[in-house]
Amino acid sequence: MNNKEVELLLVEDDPNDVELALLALRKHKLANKIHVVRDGEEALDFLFCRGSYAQRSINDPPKVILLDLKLPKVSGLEVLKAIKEDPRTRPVPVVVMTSSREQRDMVEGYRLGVNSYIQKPIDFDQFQATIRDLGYYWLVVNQCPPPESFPG
Amino acid sequence: MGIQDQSIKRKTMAVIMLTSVAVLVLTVVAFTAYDLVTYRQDLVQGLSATAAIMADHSGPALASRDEKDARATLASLQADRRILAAALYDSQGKLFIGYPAQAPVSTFPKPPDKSGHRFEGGRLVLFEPVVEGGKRVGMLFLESDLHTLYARLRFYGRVALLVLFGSALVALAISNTLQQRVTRPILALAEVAKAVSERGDYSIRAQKVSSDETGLLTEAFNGMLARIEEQTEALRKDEGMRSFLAAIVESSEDAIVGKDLEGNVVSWNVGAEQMFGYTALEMVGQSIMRVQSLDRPQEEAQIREEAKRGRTRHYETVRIRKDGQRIEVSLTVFPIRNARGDIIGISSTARDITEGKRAERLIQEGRASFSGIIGSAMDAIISVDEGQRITVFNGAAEKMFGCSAGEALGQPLDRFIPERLRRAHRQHVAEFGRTGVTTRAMGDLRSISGLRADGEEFPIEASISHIEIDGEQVYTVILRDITERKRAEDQIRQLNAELEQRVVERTAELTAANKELESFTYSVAHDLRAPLRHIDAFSNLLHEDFKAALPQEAQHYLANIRKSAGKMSLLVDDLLNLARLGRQELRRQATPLGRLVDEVLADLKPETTDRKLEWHIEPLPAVECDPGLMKQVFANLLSNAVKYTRPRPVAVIEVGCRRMNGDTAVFVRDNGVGFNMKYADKLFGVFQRFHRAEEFEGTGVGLATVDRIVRKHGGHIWAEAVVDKGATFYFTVAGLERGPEEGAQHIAA
Repeated sequence: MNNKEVELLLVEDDPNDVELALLALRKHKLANKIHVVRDGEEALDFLFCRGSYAQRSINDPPKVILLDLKLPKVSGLEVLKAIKEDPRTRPVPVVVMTSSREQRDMVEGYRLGVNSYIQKPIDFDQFQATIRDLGYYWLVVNQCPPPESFPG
Repeated sequence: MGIQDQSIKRKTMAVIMLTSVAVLVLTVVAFTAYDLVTYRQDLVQGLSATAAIMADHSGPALASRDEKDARATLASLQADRRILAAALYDSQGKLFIGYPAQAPVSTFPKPPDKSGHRFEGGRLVLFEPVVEGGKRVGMLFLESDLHTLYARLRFYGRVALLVLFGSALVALAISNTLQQRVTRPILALAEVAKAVSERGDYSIRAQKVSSDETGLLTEAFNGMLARIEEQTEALRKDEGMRSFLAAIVESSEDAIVGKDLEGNVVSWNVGAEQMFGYTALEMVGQSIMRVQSLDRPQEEAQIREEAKRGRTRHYETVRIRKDGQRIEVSLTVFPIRNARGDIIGISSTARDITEGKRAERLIQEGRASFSGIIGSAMDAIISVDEGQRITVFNGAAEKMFGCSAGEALGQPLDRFIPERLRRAHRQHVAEFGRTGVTTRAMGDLRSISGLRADGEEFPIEASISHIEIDGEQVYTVILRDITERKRAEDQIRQLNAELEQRVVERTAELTAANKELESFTYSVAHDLRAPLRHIDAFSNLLHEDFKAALPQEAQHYLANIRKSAGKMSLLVDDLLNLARLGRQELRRQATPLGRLVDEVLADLKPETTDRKLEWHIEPLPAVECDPGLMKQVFANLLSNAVKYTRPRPVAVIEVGCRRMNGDTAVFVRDNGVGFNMKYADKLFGVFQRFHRAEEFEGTGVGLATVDRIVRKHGGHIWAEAVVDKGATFYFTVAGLERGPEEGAQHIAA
C-alpha cells in the first residue's frame, strides 16, 4: 500500500461496520485511498508513524480521519485527544462516527476539538447516504489544510 | 329670760340698782310723809289760829246779832287767799252770816255740835265755837283750800323723781365700774370653764386677778383642772395600755382563755374562737370542759389544782374543737391574782401544735424514708464534712468501693480516690464550696475515677451538692459506676466506627455499581445498537443486491427483520432515556411552558403534514423546571395525542392549565381513541400498551418516562379517558401554583 495514497483513515474495530463503511465508500468510488485501523493504538501508531507504521512520514497525514469512539485498547476520545494535542496532527480533520447517543461523548469530543460528530444512522439507507456525504465532503469538497500547516 | 339666766354682770347691776332705788324711794316717801303730816298740822294750826281770832272778833257781833259787824269781820278774811268760805252760825246753829257774801246758803254746811276740823274733798273744814262772855253764842265755819299742800306734794314728787333718776345714773356708773372688778375674774373663769368644757382641753388655766374669793376660786379651779388633766392623762394612758393589752390578747393566734377557779370561762379571745370553733358568746360563762377531751377526764381538775397553788405549768395535751376535730395544743396555765395577791382566776394560753406535730412526724417519716432512699439508692451516696471525712456512706457505696460503711465512716474521702487525683479533688471540692453553687449535675462534671478497696480504678460520674448545716459545710456526692456504660459507649463507638467503615465501603461499592451501570448503559447505547444497525444494513444489502434471486416470501421476511431491528432500536433509545432519568440531576431554570409546547409543535410538524389537526393552546405559566426534560413531557403527550387521533378526520388537541383539587395542573386533551379507565393504573407502567402494534406503534416506555420526569419535578400525572371519545392527561409540577403567566395561544392546522 502506498502511504501517499492514504486519504481517509477509518478507525473502526467492528468488522461489520468496516465492511459496511467500505461498501458504501466503494459504491461511490471513494474507497481507493482508505486505510483501516482496528483499534486506538494502531490508529496512533499510524498517525505518529510508530511501530508497524514507522516507515510512514508524519508529514503525509490523511485528508480526514473517521473515528469510532468505542475502540479496544485506546478509546476514540483518547485518540482524538492525542491527535489534537500534538501540533503535528492537530490540523487533520477528525470526524467522530459513533453508534453512541451519549451526549457526554459529543460534548467531550467537541471540547477536544473534533471537526464533526456523526451518529451512525440505524437505517442502512441513511447510513449509506451519510457515508457518501461524508466522503464527498471531506475528500472532495473540503480544502485540506496546506502542508505548511504541519510544523513537523 | 328669767333673772336666773341673766349674766352675772347684769345680776350685779340689777342688785346695785334695785338696792339704791329702793333706798331712795323709801327715803323720799318717808320724808314726804313726814313733811305732809307736818304741813297739815301747820295748816290746821294756822287755820285754828285764824278761827280763834275770827271767833274772838266776831263774838260780840254774834252776840249782838250785829250782821254788819259780823260781815265786816268775815270780810277781813279776804286777806287770806286760802280761805274759800266762812260762816257764822248762831247758837241754834242757824246760819247767821256767810262768806263770801254772794255765796249761796247751800255752800255752808250744817254746823256740828262740836268744834273740830276735817279734811274733805281737798279742803280743810274747821268749826270753832264763838264764845262771848264765857257763853257760847254761835259757831264759826272756815273752809280752807288745800292746793298749797298739793303743790307741795307735786314739788316733792318732782324732786324725788329727779333725785331717783340722778342717783340711778350715778349708781349705774358706780356699779358698772365696781361690778367689773368683781365679775371680770369670774367671767374669765367662766370663759376658761367654757373653753375647757367645749374643747376638752384641760391644759387651759384661768388667770388669777385678785386675792379675794374669786382669786381663791380661780386657784381652786386651776387646781381642779390640773388634777383633771393629770387624771385624764393617766386615764388615757391606762386606756391605751388596756386596749394595747386587749389587742395583744385579741390578735394573738394563741387561744387566751380566762376562767374562774371553778373552770368557767370568763374571757375567750379571737384566737380561742378560731382554735376551738366556739365564739366568745358561746363560751363565756360556760365550763371549759366543753373543749376537754373525754378520754382525759381528770386533766382539767389537775390543771386547776396546780394553778390554785399558784404555779405556772406547761402542758402538751389534746383538745376537742366544736366540729369534733382533735387538736394537739401546747398549754401554759398560770394563776391570776388580784391587787391583794389572792388567786381569783386562771389564765391558759393554748397554741395549736397539730401542724407542728404533723410536720415533726413528717420530718421523722421523711428522715426515715430519706435514709431508706439513700440506703436503697442505686447510686453511691457519700457525704463528707468540711474536713472531707465521710459522714454518710450508703449501701451502693459499700458495693461500689468494696468497703463497709463501718470502715468508711469517719475516714477521709481520699482513700476512695486514686492517689494521682487526690490533690485535684480536694481543690475541686474547696472551689465548689466557694462558688456558692449548691448543686452540680452529673453531666457537668468531667468523668472522674474512683478507687476500690482492692485497688482497682474505675470510671465514675458524679454530681455534687453542698449545704450548710449549723454552720458546717456538708458536701454530698452521688456517684455512679460507669464502667459498664463506658464499656457500652466504647462498644457503640467501635460499632459506629465499623458502621462508618461499612458505609464508606458500601458507598464505594455503590459508586462502583453506579459506574458499572453507567458503563452498562453506555455499552447498551453503543454496543446494543451496533448489531441492530448491522442487521438492518445487511438485510437491506441482501434485499437490494439479491432482490432478483430472492423469492417473494424471503423478501417479506427480510422486511420483517428490518422492521424489528428498527423497533428494537427505538426501544433501546427509550429505555436508555428512561434509565438516564434516574441518575440525571435536574437543571432547573425558569421556563415558560408555552415555549416548550411551541418547540414540540415545531418538531411534530414533519409528521403531521398530511393530517388535519386543530390545536387549542391556552397561555401557560412559566415554571422552575429542567427545560430539556419538561420538553420530553410535552413531546410525549403531544405526539401521543397526534398518534391516537389518527383515525379522526379532524383531530382536536387542547393544551391548557386548570385549578384541580387545589393544584394547578397542565392538561393535554385529544379527541382520539381514548382508553378504558379500568386500565388507568397501568397507564404509566413501563412496556404497558393499550393498543395493538398494528394500530398504534410505540414502545410502552413514553408515559413511564413522562411519569418519572413529572415526579422528579415534585408533581404527579393522571389521565381521564373515554373509549372512542378521547383522553385528557393532567400533570402538576412543583411551583406551578402561581397561575398562568406567559404563553402563546394559537391554533395550528
